[in-house]
Amino acid sequence: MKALLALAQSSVLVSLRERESLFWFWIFPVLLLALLGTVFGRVERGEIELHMVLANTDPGPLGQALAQAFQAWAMGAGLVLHFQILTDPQNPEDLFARARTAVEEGQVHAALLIPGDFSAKLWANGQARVQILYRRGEAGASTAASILSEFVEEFGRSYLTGKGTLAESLSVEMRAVGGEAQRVRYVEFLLPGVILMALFINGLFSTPSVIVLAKEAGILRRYFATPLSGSRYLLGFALGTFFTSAIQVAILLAFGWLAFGVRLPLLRLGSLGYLLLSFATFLGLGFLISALSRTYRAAMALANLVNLPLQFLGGLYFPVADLPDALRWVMAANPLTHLAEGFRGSLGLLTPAFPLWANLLVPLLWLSGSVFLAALRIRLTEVG
Amino acid sequence: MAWILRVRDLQKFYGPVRAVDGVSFDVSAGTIFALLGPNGAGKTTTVEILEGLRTPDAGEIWLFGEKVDRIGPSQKARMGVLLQEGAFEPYLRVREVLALFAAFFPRSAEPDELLSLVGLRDKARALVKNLSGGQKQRLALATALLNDPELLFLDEPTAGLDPQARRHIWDILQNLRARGNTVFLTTHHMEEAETLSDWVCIMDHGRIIAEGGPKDLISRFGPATFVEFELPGELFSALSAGFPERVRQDGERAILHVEDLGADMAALFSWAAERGVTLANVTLRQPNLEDVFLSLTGRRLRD
Repeated sequence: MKALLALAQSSVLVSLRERESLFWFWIFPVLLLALLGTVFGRVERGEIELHMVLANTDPGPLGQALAQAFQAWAMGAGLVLHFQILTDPQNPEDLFARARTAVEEGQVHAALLIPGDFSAKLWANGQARVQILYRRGEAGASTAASILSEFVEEFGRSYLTGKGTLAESLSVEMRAVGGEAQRVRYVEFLLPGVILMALFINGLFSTPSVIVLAKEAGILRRYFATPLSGSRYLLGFALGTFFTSAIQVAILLAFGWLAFGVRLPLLRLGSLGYLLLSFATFLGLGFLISALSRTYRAAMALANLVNLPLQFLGGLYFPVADLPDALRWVMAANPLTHLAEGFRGSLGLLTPAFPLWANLLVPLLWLSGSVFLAALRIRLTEVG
Repeated sequence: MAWILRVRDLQKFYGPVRAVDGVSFDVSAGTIFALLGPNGAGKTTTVEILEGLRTPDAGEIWLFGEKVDRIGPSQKARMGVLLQEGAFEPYLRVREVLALFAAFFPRSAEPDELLSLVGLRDKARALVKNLSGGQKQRLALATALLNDPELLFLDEPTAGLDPQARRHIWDILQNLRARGNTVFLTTHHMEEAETLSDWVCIMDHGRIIAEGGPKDLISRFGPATFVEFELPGELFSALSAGFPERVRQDGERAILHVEDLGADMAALFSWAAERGVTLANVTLRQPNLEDVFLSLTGRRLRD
């Protein structure tokens, strides 16, 4: 135990002192979180496109004009904004109820309701009021509601004023509805992905670079001329990597909280379990790469080869559902996909697309396969 | 004297290369034993087998009074090792390296005492990467001494060191022997073997070609006395003709094997006077292990 702790302590000290690892393993994950969080942090996951609906119950010309303006605007608005017009003059109440349900169930972000007396009130110079419904507690919905509100105001300025009707008599009522379960912000979705990325980099690059370099330099030969065994060295190394990974996770959590206000409920058995499984899976991959590589250059080349498909097709930064079909098999076999899904699922950030057993089994298969092959192939000294 | 290590017919082959080709020797407790030979003679392979870093193809090893098939943790706990190409983690501090190695052994000496012993006390907080070659070698020695080893393996411990650093390490090794520790030294440095060791095995092409106490070996294989002096290269063949089979060339210097000091010196000076040659930097020296190796193999240790 004394040797394990001493090795672990050395490993932490080295990773804190060495300039290259200082950047890649301590600073880079925070930078990545800051960058992606800042660029995409204001919208919600999958809600860069906004959906809106208009329900018009006004039989008069002004309601129709507003609906037509809405339709014209919708056609010019491009791909980001989606509009739909609901019409059913026979059952105005039913129309409003449908629009409200669409908002509450998250089918659309916001709805614009034009009351039946809209034209009549405006002609009489009375106060006409349209209603905008949006989903409660959802940034995308409030953005959609603001867009609709601006649209109505613009309609008032450019259309009603031209018709001699006082634009001031048009008012907008904003109402938040539904949305009991707050939807996930992108930063909340991102942070667990960046945490896994940090563990992944630590396992995939740091592990073989330390082990293979130590082997090349003769550091391991010196260790093994003492009573220290190869398996105890690897255990001590794993313990050190565990400590550095724990510090990394803590730094990322603190940064996510301070910079973006994200607080992940990490102290759950499932979440900690997925973190531990991720750590072990990535470390196993690192051991395998160390076992297969004679030189540092070969180790880094192999790590890069593994890194590209696994990291970027693992759904760490963006939802995997957006991948083209041809790459779905890579995704399904990728331990990162399952670890990211399982981890986010355990944090209540999404409902996993894969069943629980798959999210556990695939990483476990990778872990046991890597450790088995590494144990067969690893030569910590050039013992001959 | 009781032996602490006995090796019989040790063999290690790499394909057609017979790196260690049937080596046998005994190392007596409390002595300095030197395995002397040129680079590539098989010294390092031999010592790495004994350190437990390589497995032999054949042969028997008795260590600490027991026959061992494999050098394992219990033997390693009683040994100290300084590897020829060992290294330490460059981003650890000197005292941290010692603390790390101390954790590998069941018991260990006080790191600060060892740092004083090897003259690194003021470098305790320095990072390994900032140490000079000599300081790294002294750190390696300190780690080898951490467990107060009964048997200390030192593979080329002074290679690449300046004379002062080399003397410092020699002093430490002599003190260790005085304390009763056994030192197994491999070196291609004949002066080191001659100055330090009680017993020398000369190794070449994977085999032991001679062994004995250094003085004994020199008197057995080495000629009586040498005269060395500077001589222009073109005069060398003339000198050889004057002193057949007693002259060899070492760069700008000629080395004359002297049997009768008075007569041979008179003959040399008259040879020089006849040719108008001034003999510069003339030195008279006793033979050494280098000469022994030369007489055994026809080659020099450093070739």
